[in-house]
Amino acid sequence: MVVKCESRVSGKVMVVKRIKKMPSVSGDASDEDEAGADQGFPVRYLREACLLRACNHPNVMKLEFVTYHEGQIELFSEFVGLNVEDYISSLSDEYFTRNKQKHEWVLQLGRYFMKQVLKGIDYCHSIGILLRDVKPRNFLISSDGTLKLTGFVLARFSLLPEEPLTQQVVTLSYRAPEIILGGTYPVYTAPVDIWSAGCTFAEMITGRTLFEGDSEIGQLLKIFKLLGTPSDCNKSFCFEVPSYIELLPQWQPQSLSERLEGLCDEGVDLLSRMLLYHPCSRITARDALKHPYFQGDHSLMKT
Amino acid sequence: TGLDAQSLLLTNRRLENNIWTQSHACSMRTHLSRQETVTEEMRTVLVNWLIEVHFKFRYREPCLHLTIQLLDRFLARRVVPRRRYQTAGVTAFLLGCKFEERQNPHVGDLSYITEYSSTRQNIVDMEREMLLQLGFDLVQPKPSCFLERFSKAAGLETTQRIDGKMSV
Repeated sequence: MVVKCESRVSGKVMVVKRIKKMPSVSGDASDEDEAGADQGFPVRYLREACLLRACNHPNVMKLEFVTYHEGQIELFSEFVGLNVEDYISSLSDEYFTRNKQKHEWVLQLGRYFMKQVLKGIDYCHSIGILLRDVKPRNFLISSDGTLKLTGFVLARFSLLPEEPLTQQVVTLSYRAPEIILGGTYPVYTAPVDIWSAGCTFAEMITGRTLFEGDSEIGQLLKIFKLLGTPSDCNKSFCFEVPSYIELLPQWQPQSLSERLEGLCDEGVDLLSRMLLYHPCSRITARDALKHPYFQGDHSLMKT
Repeated sequence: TGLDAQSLLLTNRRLENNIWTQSHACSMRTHLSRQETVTEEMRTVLVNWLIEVHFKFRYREPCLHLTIQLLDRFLARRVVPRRRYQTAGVTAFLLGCKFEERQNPHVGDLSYITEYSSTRQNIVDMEREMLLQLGFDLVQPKPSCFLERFSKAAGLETTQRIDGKMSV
């Protein structure tokens, strides 16, 4: 449950996320002893609280403090406002069509937000945090136009060596192919966040989700349909992929600039670099910030 | 993790020594001086026991490093009575696993390995106390992070890396 509140001491407006401590349901059935037993602080919120506390960056939401009473946990964080998903759906269709002026405005705003998205991600990666849940819903827009990264429930602390991690991360539409293909414990690291950021980017420009699959395989098909089926999968992904992939239809890569009407060439180039199959050749957040797309003065015009 | 018992024993000794100095560097000067009933020998015993537990559960090193770090930081801030000392250790282990590993042990199992000297409720309470005391700050550099970073930078082979891991 999330509520807005105001501090009586400082007058600060904050958001409280209240978590009722549930007895664990995930425990295996054979373990009757453990079913319903108190497992202490829930793992996901433990990671969220600790990682948010470790962050200190203008583009990452600030967690003010945490309280932990018997059976109830409350996370107090700064109040930001609307999230990007709501922002996109609040715009009417004509913003995303060829209607020149309004579309231009969306494109500019997209660039302005994307820069902050990448700054936030770059900061997290630089201190060793893997976000694993980058999507429009997890970016909040404050009243002065600053974007704040949130949604650390799935994040974890992980450093350079790639290690097998769990598969059940990242909302499906934003999930990178190496997670979908990697088996039960796929090996992945920072590039998965870049993939998700690329999907977010496209969504801000077009107003629609880039790849909207209904299942893991459906998601994969959507990706291949746009970006082309890789001819040699083991080489494209640098690991053994399941053999069923050879049965998939062979699609040719489509042009991204057609899909993202109106986006300038640099923008399309950046997006294509963010959506490369091979995790190691995918652009890093830091390099993306140096990309020509962000060069020059792009401060927002008042509308 | 494919170590035989002999080399494990050796590693244990080294591991323990190294972490001993490490934690001194990391945490405050007043490390154990605040404690009234807990002595350095007791810490050695506890850390040895934790290393054994950690090995039984087959977790990776960062988890162990975090466990010991948490324990030391907690002891530097809070006076722990002797009978709660093992609870503190096992709780630090629980937090370490929760934070670092894909799966974490059940609280009941942890209570079992202390031969029920710490009940489930004890551990849950201690966890809360530890989290609040440390201000939810579990993200600290661990020896293994440095090792991985440096060995990657130096372009070492896997075997050399494993040697390095052993000495940490």
